[in-house]
Amino acid sequence: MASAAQRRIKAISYAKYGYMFIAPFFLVYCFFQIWPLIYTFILSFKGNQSANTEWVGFDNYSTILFGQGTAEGAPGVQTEFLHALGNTFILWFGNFVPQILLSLLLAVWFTDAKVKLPGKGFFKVVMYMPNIITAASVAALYVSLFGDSKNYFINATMLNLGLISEPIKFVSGPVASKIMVMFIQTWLWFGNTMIMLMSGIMGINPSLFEAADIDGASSTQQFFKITIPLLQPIMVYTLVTSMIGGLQMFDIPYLFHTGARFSRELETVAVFIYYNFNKGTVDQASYGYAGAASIIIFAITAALGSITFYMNRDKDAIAKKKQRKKAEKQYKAKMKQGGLSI
Amino acid sequence: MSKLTRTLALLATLAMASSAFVACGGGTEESSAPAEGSSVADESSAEEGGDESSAEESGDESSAEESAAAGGEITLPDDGGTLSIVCWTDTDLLNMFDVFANHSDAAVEYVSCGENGAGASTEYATFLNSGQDVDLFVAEAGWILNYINDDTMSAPLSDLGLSEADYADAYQYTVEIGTDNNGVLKAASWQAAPGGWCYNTDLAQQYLGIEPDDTDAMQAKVKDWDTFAATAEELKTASDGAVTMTATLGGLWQAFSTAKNAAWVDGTTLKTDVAAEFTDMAKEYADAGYVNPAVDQWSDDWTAEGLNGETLGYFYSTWCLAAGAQLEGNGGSAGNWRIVNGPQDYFWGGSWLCVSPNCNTSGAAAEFVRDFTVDPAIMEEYSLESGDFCNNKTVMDKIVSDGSNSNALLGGQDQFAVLKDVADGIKMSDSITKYDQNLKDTFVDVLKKNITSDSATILDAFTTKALADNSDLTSDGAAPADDAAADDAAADDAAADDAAAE
Repeated sequence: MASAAQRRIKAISYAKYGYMFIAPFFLVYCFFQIWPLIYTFILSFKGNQSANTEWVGFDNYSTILFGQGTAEGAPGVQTEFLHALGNTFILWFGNFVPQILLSLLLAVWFTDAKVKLPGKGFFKVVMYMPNIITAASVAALYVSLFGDSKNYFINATMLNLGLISEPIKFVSGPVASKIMVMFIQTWLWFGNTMIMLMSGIMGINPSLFEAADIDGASSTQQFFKITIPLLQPIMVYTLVTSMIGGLQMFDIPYLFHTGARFSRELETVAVFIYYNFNKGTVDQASYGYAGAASIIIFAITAALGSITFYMNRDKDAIAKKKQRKKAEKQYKAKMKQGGLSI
Repeated sequence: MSKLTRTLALLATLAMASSAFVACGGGTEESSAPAEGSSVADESSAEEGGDESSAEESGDESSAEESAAAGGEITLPDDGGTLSIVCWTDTDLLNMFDVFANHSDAAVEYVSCGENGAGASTEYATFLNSGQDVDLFVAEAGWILNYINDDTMSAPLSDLGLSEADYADAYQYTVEIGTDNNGVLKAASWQAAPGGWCYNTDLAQQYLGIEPDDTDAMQAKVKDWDTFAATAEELKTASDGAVTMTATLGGLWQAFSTAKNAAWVDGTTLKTDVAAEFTDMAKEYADAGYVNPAVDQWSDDWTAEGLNGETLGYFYSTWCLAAGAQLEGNGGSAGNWRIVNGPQDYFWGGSWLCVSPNCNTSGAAAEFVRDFTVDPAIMEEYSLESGDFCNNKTVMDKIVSDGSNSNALLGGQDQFAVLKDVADGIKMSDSITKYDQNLKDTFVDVLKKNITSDSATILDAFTTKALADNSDLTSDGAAPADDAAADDAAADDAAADDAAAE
């Protein structure tokens, strides 16, 4: 039997304090996350430059995707966007593949109980280090080392050693500059990926490896039969985050240049968006194209993400679920038929 | 080991956290609440400062200044705080601050925004909207129209008590550029920026047989574009191709295009005739090896060309010739460079002082603008101190006739005597448009990248890109936009596009 005081306490609702405590987060989130998201959609249906308050329907999308907008420059915008999209995929693929292979190799070495590497902690830290340097410093460093002409260190050294007869255009050349960016991105991110994969490998039950050892499995067999299958959830995570990051790749491609503008050879979709968004004063900026390109890249990311998840779904679990459902159905059907079957 | 790891992790965290605080410029946040009431008092105190200083000058000038200062009324607020001037570089401003400190007690500070003159064009827009304390900002000819034609970005000079009558002695083109579409004077320049052709006398003597101090002989060799090209050929033959005539296409383009006095855009139509003419010229120069097309204007390579004696000369404007500026860095420190008028009279850049509508230190702002764009005594002092070409015909005439200027980097030559003729020859009817910076950057970019293609391809690529960037422009029909494209990728895409359209 509750006393009067107890009943009163029960009647007081503490829920409102809870709401008050979480309100700041939601307010900030709405202002700085939700509204900009919605506004990007709105902007993608509005005009560009001096016409940036007019509604233009799908004009920006048809300009960017099909080059058939109302502005005379529409084919040029489409060309540039497709060029940027192509660059994005080339640069992402070219840095993701070497990055994941290198990280996986290092992660396996560092976690292998049999390989006693000295100074593991040191190497882990050193390999993670590039990731904490700001992109601006990294780009400046590489531009000043790998400049286009004989006045820069790498070209000067190679010329003096007689390895090349003409300076290599590491910064402005269409192929060399892409390779440079892939290399920089790999160098920046392999430490991070390695740490993630290591945590995944260390999460695998060590007794599996011990049992495999006792059964006489080679390290290659252990790697392909135990490590890789059990690492799958972390791999999917790495793939998805890297894909999102890759499609939004901006800093290094934008900063890796000499001269007044970013390099067109390295223009990614994010650079395209930023350039159109930030071409000058409000009257000059093409908010419409920037918004539409953002939405398109969002759609691409969503589609690719879904495909990745679909391909990497846990097939065993799904098969088991199906089996169970089938069994349930059979059981129910039997019950309907009435009673026992002998 | 774990201690090391922990320390490194801490360092890493700090580094990441500190990167979050990096923002455009190092602008100091100050309370920008304008205090209307205090404006009168501060104004008078600021003017007292001005009067004290001009009392040191000759009597005539100080009275002239007083009467002029009395002429206009300052309508913007004044809280007596620090005068903040936004620019992408402090090279000029620091010289100006030194001179300003001789005449005024008002505190001034330089606020940095923008990587360079071209980059500032876009970064200002964000910065000025950010609500930071900005009183005056410096703009370049290529993009100033974007700012002075926007009343949310700039206030008229009349709000600081300055009128067009104050600029009767200024170079007319600087006033034209500073006037917005409605004929309101929004910006004033402290400098005129006529440009000449500056050359290395050692190389000229070695390969062209010109005596070091015989600038007339050099001018005769570069008096027009045909002669310029002929001299380039002579130089190439004599030096066996080791020395180029001039460092960059960018410099050639500046001299060539501004002298044409033709606008990029007529109404909303993109004009490509000057670009077409220059494309042919650039291709001729690049093919013949008179210039190295791979070198970017203002880049390290550009500097190295002069330092290593790989180029005979640069197109330099007044502001390249001051101590510590481009000439010195590019090999002029030995004093063996000279300047001549060159093939055409042109101007290069120049900076204008614009007033922010949020200006809350109007007394000091008015004084600053007046000192450096109107007051002849201070402008002369500044010119002699900094080597800058001040925006006042009378003052420049006086400096040249007094012979009070000599530039050690030019072996004691008075660059003003040469550039004064150029400045008088500059014409700037309505040839600048708000599209200029973007179109110029695009053109130079496209030209440099496609220099080996034929002229038609280059122009098409330029038109395509220019129209893509500026959706309110239409082409002039001289170069159809969609039958050829910029680079390989673009060509492929365009071909695919054509195929898809059929």
